[in-house]
Amino acid sequence: MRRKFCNLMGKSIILFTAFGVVFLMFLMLFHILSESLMAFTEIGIHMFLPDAQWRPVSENPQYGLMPVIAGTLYVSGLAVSAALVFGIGCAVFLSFYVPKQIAKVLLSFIELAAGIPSVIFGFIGLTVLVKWFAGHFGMAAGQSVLAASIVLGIMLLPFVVSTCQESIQNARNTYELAALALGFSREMLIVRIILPAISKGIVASAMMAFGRGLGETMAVMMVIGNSPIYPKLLGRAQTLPALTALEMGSIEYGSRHLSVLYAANVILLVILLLTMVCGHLLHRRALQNET
Amino acid sequence: MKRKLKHMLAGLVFCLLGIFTAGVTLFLFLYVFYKGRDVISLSFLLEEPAGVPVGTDGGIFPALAGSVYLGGLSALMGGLMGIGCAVYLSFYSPNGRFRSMVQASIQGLSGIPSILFGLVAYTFLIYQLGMPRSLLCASVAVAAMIVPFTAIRAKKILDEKGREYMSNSISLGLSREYALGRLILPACLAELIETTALGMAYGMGAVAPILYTGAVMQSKIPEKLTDPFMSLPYHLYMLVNNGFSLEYAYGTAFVLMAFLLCIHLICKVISYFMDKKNCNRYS
Amino acid sequence: MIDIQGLKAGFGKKEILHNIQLHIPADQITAIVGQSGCGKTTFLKTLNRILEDEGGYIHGQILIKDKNIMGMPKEQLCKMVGLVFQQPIAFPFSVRRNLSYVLKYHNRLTKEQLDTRIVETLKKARLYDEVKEHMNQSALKLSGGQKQRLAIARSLCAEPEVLLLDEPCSALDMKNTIAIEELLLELKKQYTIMVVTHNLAQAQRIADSVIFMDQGKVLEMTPKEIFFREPKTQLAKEQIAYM
Repeated sequence: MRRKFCNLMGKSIILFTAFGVVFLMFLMLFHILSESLMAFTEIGIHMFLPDAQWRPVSENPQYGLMPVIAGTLYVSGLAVSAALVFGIGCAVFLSFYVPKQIAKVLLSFIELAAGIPSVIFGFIGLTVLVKWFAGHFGMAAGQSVLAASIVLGIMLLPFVVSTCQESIQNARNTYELAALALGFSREMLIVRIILPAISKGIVASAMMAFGRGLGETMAVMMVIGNSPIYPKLLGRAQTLPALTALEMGSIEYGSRHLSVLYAANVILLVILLLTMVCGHLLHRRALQNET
Repeated sequence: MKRKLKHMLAGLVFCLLGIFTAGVTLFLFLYVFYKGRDVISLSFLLEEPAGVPVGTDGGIFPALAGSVYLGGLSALMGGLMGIGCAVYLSFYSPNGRFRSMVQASIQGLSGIPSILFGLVAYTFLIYQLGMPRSLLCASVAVAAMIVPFTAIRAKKILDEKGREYMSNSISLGLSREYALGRLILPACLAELIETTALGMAYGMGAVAPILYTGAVMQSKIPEKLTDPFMSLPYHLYMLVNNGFSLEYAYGTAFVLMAFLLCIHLICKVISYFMDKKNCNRYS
Repeated sequence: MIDIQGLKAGFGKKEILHNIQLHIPADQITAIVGQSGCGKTTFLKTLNRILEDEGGYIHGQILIKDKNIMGMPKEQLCKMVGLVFQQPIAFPFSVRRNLSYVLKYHNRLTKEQLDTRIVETLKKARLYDEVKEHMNQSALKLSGGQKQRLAIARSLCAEPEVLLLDEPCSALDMKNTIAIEELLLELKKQYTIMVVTHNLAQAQRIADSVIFMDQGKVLEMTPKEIFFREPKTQLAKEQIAYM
């Protein structure tokens, strides 16, 4: 009897947590959608007109999200490209040019950097990069898209390095002996065989990194300058999550402004979803090719 | 000759990129520790913040304690929820609509940016449910954020280690719950705790979910769940963002980073020894 | 003992077992032989319905002792039909706890009763003499053959009526194989045993009757003597000729 009771308890706890997660997801989605409903019905397309500005608190409020959306994509795209170049280079370096033991230590160091909270990235970015920019480029404060992209790129590095390193290791196991037996040099092996073999995997992990970059809040917010204008490399700009974090605390609940913020996040989620789905499909294709 | 040069050049580029990347990573750690080392003292760790504006003098003890409380609470909620889900996905209902719903929910939650947990917690818990800005509210937001983190990792652990135990136990006529309680969860306990600890570290470092849901610039150590609290990353953010005191910001960053690194290192060491033990077991 | 009619099983849209009809008598060793991938293991897994837990489906009628197993509670079924997997798994406990883990679930026993049951079962599985000195040591340290016998002992703890073994000797050397075979010959006095094997010689040594499977179908189900003397199908003939 007691056993039956225990079994039932265990089972119901597990089912409860499973239900809880589904409930949580639905709650999030439902809440975000319902809060953004007002913005979509009342402002609608005006949010997405390319020359609408973001002036939510002026006399004649305008809620143009396009500059911010562009800023988000710009920063994230730039960061991912930088992270890819350095990440792939580093992964190749670690797997081919460094003794295994040292590579292991370095890799775990780099992976450890993934555990650094984003506030600290933002903080270092602010005290090092932004200061340097202000001194050398003659900018007013140094806060810029470039600074944000670099900080974000460094944040994405651990992820890119570890996924690339893994797929390089897989490709190596498959091709290395055969290639070396054919008399390929190490560089030829890397450039002609390994990199093409893992290119699909790299694109997939780039997509995932892009998704992560899109959602990054604190680090970007601290160095990007937070001006909701169209992004220029050395100018200030704004991203969707940073905009949300910056403004949500000062808005009245139930206002149109808050609803637009929710609408902005709906857009962010849609972009994220598209990226994730692409990344997932590519990842699956890559896995199929590797096996 | 030309080809050889090209190869050397390619090698050089890879080496430079690699060294640069590794260097940047090392720089992150060294910079914070180097800059913060002067501020760190026992009184900085154990005193309450003071000065005008607040945080420019005194210590950060309430922030440290608040972060530990927040981490503990959200790891408790998020960890249990995540592990429960992982158990469900690994051992219950091999296929079916509800299973794919659970799976999609975890994937979805893991993709949602951390700020959204803060935003939804802010409007839903505080405005719609009328909760005060408090430790509980922030913990719920952080817990929701670390549920997918722990669920995905825990599922991997359970799949790798528990599958065979489960099918063996079932074909002995034992119930799933008995096998889980007596065999599988104890066998994976160390790794599951490690996962939860990593989730805790992840949650403790996040600012976005606690931004307006409970963290404040100055408060006592929370006594009730409904008290507002101080948190290290939030404190750091406020110090930097308002330009109060860069020196104290370095100190706070030092403490935060050292704290999280300790958690990570302990987990690494544990998993290293677990691996070793496992190797011995199966050889 | 076991009556199977119109059994179909598989995963999703892929059917692995096609329309199987069988009758398996009690207190015998029935060997299931065939090439790898012919569905032998899947067939075993239908008999205690563990296939369903792995995401597969089972259609048709399976009667064990005139009871339809499709309507039986799973725990009861798995208790009645013990399955020993190909890869012997020792649970990460002591040898004693490997057995008490099962015994405690199915029975309420005092400590003395538990100890006698453990010794009894280990003796039955011919493992007792080797492990009696270190009952409290980790079972993970046992050798492959010992682990396999431990797995059989564990199955016996559930007091099954049917014992299914999936390639019990595939990872073992000659000495351990002989030990397992002798053990099975002794156990068949009490239990109905079905052994999957790809080793025809082993089937000849221990089986009373042989089921020959290919591509998810049962080609033959005959007593051993007949199967090895005059197999009906060409495929079986070829394989026996290779022995």
